[in-house]
Amino acid sequence: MTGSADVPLPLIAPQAGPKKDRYEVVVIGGGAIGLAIAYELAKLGLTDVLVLDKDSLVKGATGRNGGGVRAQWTSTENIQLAQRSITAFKNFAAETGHNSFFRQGGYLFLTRSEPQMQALTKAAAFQNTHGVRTRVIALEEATRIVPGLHTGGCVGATFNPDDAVLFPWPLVWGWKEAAEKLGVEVLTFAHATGFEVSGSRITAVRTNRGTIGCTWVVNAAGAWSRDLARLVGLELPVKPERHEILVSEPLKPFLGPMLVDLSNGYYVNQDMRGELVGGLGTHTEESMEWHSSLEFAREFAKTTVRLLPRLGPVRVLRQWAGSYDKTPDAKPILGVAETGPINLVQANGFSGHGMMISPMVGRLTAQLIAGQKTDLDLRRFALERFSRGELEADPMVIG
Amino acid sequence: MVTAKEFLCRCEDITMDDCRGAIHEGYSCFEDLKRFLGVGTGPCQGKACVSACMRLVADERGLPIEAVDVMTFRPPVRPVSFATLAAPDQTGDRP
Repeated sequence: MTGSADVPLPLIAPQAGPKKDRYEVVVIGGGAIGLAIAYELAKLGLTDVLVLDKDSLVKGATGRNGGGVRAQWTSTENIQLAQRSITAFKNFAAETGHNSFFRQGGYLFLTRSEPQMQALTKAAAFQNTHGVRTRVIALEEATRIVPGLHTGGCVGATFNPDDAVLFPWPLVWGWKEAAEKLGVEVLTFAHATGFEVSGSRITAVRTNRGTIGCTWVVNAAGAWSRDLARLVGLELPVKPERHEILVSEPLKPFLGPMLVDLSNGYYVNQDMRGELVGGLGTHTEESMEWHSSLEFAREFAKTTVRLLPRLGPVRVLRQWAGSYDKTPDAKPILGVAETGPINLVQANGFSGHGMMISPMVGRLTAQLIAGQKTDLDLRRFALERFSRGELEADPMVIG
Repeated sequence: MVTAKEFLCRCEDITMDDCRGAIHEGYSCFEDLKRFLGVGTGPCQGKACVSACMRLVADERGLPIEAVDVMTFRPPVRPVSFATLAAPDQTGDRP
């Protein structure tokens, strides 16, 4: 546990500290998850909420991901979280006044393996039972959906027209401003450095900007969530996993869906600024060190020109990296852990698909804290599933 | 000397007034302005606008320029085509 003096406040940070010394709920982590929770709490009438972020906002995974939002999953819980979040994203601009550039162009999965095609076919049928409109499509149809697509070496494809992409940055600003309007406070450059515990409860969060009393604490710290939980002696099976991504110069709109090649976890979409944004499932490692590699850029480029040869002259503008908060089954940890303080709520372990389900995670977590019945059963996301061995990985994790 | 029509970031069509307004709305450091307005995210990747934006933040907030944060400059230094990156690696001809 580090003392507050170890984290000096830069001059560029807002100098005013928290307005009060005690809040009903302290949310640690001002990404899509933490801010969605704060906003949903406020909508339920719980406005005595403080959100802490260790830096300026949009510096973690919310600001670094590719913007994909999809319901093509193979587990009921992931599908339900995604479907309801897609509905919420449709209302985001009207609710917050911020344009998230949400665009439903679908997700098109390509596979180069027969066994994987069988799995995709089974997954599509399963998704259909949940009302997801995924179809197994012929490669000729894939070429019609993505003009110029070369499908040589591919054996098949699936397509869900309702999947989407958005620009993650405005999500943060939209939820922040909407939550603040309802009375929530958001404090940046605020490090949680420790907890004060009495019996089975956390009574206060120690930060570089003072000790803040609380009734509830939410761990929405993303790739930092394991380290945060350790401050109170709780071990989460969450590992930071570094992934790379890049963006091209802007082009006229031509690419409808998020295009995925499952052979190397390649994904690319065209955002509403016209840029191509994409990454790979390779070149990953357990790390919080976010360098960019030439090797990544080269493999991404090779896959791009193999699938879309006419993009050869298009130029890469920028590469970056970020860390997933990865769990062993690639599903999040939600709710209160049996072995931790009874007022510490987990909302982490999103394994690369947190942004896309953040509206629903916000709602469920807010319902839990408000003592309401949650829309979905949170026990499926309990930390205890790992010690009980009740793991069922969702193989549709890409990127 | 600065007018409403003066551009801070030509790539993303951001004027000095846009940026000044955002600073006073609370987007008060460079990293916020990048992620709110898009300063520095266009084809020049900040080469034309970063210094001016930092100066504006310093002036508007009454801070020394040394205290203003700056965005992380990321590869590639200049835009590089997918075709170049995808070309076979050759000694002396690295992309």
